Amino acid sequence: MLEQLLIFTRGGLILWTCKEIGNALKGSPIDTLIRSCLLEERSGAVSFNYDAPGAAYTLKWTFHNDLGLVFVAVYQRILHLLYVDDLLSMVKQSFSEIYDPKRMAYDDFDETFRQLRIEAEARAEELRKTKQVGKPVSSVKKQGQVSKPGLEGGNKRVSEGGSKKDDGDGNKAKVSTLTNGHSNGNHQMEDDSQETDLANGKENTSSNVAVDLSKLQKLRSKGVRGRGGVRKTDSIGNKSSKVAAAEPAKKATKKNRVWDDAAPKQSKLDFTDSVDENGNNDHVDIVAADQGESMMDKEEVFSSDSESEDDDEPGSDEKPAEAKKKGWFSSVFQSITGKANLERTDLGPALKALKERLMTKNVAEEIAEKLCESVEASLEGKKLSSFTRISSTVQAAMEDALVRILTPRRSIDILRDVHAAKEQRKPYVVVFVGVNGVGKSTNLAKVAYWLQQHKVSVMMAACDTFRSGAVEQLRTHARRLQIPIFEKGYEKDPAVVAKEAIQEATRNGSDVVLVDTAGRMQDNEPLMRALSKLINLNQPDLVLFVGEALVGNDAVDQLSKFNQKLSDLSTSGNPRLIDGILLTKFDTIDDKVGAALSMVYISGSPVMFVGCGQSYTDLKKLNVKAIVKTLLNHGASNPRVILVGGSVGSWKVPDSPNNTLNHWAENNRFKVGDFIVWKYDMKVDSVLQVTKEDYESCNTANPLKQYNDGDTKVELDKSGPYFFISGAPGNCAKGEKITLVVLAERKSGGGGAPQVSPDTAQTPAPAPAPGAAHNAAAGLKVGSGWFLTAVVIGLAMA
Amino acid sequence: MDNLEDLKIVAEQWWKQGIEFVQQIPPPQLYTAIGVLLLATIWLLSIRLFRRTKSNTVLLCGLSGSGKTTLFFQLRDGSSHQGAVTSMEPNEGSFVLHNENNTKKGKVKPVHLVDVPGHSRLRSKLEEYLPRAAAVVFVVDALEFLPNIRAASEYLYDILTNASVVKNKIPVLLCCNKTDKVTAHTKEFIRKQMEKEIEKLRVSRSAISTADIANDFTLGIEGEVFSFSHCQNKVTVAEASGLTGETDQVQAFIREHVKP
Repeated sequence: MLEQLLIFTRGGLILWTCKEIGNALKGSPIDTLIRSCLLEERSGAVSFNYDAPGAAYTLKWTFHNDLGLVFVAVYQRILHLLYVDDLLSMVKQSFSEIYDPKRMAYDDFDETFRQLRIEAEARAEELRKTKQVGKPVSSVKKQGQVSKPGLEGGNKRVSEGGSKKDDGDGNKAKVSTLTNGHSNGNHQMEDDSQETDLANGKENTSSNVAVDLSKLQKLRSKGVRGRGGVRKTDSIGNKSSKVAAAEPAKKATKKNRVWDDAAPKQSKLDFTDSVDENGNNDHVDIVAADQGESMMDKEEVFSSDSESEDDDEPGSDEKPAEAKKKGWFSSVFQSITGKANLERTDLGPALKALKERLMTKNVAEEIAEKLCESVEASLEGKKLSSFTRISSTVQAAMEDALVRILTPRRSIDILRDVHAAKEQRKPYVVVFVGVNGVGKSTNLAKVAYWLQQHKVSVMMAACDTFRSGAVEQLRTHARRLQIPIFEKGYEKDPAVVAKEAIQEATRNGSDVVLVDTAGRMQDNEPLMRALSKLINLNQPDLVLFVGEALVGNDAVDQLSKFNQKLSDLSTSGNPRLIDGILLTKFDTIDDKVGAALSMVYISGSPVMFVGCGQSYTDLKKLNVKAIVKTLLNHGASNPRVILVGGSVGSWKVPDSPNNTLNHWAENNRFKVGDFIVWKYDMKVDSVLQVTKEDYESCNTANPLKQYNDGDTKVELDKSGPYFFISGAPGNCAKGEKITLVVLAERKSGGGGAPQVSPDTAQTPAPAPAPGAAHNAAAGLKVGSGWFLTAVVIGLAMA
Repeated sequence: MDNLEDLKIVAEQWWKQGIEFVQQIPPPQLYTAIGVLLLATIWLLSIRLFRRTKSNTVLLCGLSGSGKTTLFFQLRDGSSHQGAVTSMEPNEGSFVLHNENNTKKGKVKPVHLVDVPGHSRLRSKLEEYLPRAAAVVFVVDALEFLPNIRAASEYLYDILTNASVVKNKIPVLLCCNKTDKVTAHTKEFIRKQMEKEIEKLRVSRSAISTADIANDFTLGIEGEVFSFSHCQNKVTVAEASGLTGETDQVQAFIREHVKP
């Protein structure tokens, strides 16, 4: 039976509930739906499962975007109500007719609803009967037949008395047909729910214990199987085949490493006990606290300077099929007056272009797909306001969605959490997990350095008891940073080592314990089990997933498998999942920042740190706005203007040999077309561009170029090394010099991606000749054509 | 394509005609016309500027589930209707408060009330509204206060350190909602607890303040335990119950800052 049907505004006000059904819902399924599904840009999904003690609901919903209404139906999961989708669309149809924003009570809707419900139930009943007879009708066709009378919505089929009574039995019968399995053709709605169920079943059986996994988990796993967004009006065939094609591709990840041959050698490699803690560290230079402050504490320098707006759209992609048929004048007119309501077909091309753009930015395909579906769901039926193009509306909606996703849901103020833990007199435990070679240990050291700078006493725990040399590596970091390290050598159970480390930290009063773990592939069952044990045994305050920014589609697989395994293998009822993400190698990816989005979307946890270089200071926070901007920018990135030395250092004698301009230069990437700028006092200093020999010998006698205007701007117009020294006598010898290497030119966005950038694919015609007319008809290009129309209309009005 | 060429020609013709027409007008008339036009634009602009300085926008913010939407409709219609669920979009409206409706009709300046969703994903919306806010009502759930205290304090801290709040000295009302329930905490307790939490935040945030671009301002007085009275803007505490409609203190606060 239907448990509840609600109609509420997007603002959150309930307009109408079905009093007749009147069952009190257990828990708060609606709020949970909104928080963990609709607001997470997952509204493209088919249904949402809610678990609470004593209740298991399935929720279905539909939007009326123009009026800003949401319709939600709640029913018991064990019942497979076939008419819900139908009923929702009928309710939507008839409610939107009587809706008035000023009106708050809709008591008269009760009667309408009753009729609609009876009608829907009767239809479902009929459908079931016909199916039992066994007519093999193709699903799509049937769908059409079903939804049509629903829209007509008349009282054509007034209930035949008994249908309501029958309902209970009918449902049971439906359930039985479902469980019996495959006799029932392939009606789409049924298939859907069945699939969902199968998924749930699988999950539950595999976990056995974790019956009430968090709902998020379920959603996530649904996402992984890649069929979240099957919508009933879409043609299903296409989509499912696409998903099927995507599946095997995903399976082909890295093979597991063969670990066996490491075993016999291990006794030789295990030097951990023999090495003297305090001895022979002479060759390791201690950095302590004079490497300058961690980049976490500096503001972004140029990433946001470079965001010059260019809104040129890749024209050919966005031509709506119909717009071509209509004259361009009418579409110009339409754009001025505002289009009636956006339809799916209007949005299609713009969304497709957007999806492709996201994918060129390395966003995983299924995530780009789901995002687009969610944006589509939020725009469909909306009124296009005057003087806007579809593509810009879509882009704005996508921007909103991206900002929403990337904005952290929980506080990412780790220092605050550390202080809170300190008050409770227990150490704050951070566990670093991730696949092999993503930089767990390196970034652990960076985090340690950052924490240390904020007067937090840190301890490292070497729980990578698996890979040879891991403990030594961490010990080197610890020595350089002068941080105590807890180690027990190899061949120990990492969970036990971590436990002892935490106990040790409690004893000696360390505030934070950073636990390094062995890298593991997400499919490696024994290792994942060990990780799960470590996490469940120690209950860390923060489980940080370390992921490479380079990763593409695999990001989804890694994160979701990690989360899945952590919850499946957990022994407690409330499994610990990944709390945050550390994105590494961010300096190597240019504008392909999509992994950040993929990871945040799939895990729902925020990016807490971004590793962007080799030194201890290279740890940053994620700049959400810059990321969104980069994601939505298309084509090659724009030329940047970079201030030499970033925000702090400029053209002056460096204060310490560790803090030279070259140090800065090594941590930045320069591209052909970038500008670099010096700011200095023109009376005492100057900039000389010199040859390599002169650079090394600090010879100021014969520079290639000389600048002394106080505000020197040099374009990096070719790839290769550049050498600059100070013109002031003696300054160069003191270290006031810089050499930087400009990377070779690459096609749009680097990475040698095979796809042709839209910009190069079509050169926009400059004059308001045929080309412009074409563009105006399609995407309504702002330009000379626009100006002309504006003039014409202005004159016509005068 | 010919279409466009034709249009271009027509436009050019009209343009020429227009210029000829302008040249026919005697200069004094032309200048007066231009003068009038300029005056009108300046007047319109000044009106807009004038309005902006005396904003009547009051923001309702707070964590998700603290009762902002209910309060919003309580203030607007005097009824919470059939309850509310988590908001996905802000509720906005310019209206005369419900209680004032009957007393002096037509003379009261309407209040532009905005209910900003509390879900953390939608926090960014708040920043859009803060620059033009006249007052901020920060709604706290007095019933489920302790479990949410850290999140609530962090949110309040962000608001109190927001550039436009500090610059415009936007007054903030700490509204303890749901006081109709027996187990609700008192406003004094809530104020003290939140001050304590903000004090802790101040310590941890000042450590990373250089990194945090959003928080440009430090809160309170250096070396002293934080108290709301240290804020440059006025922070007051009030009690309310969205469900039963006891919103007198909130209304008084709104009317204090948006004069009728």
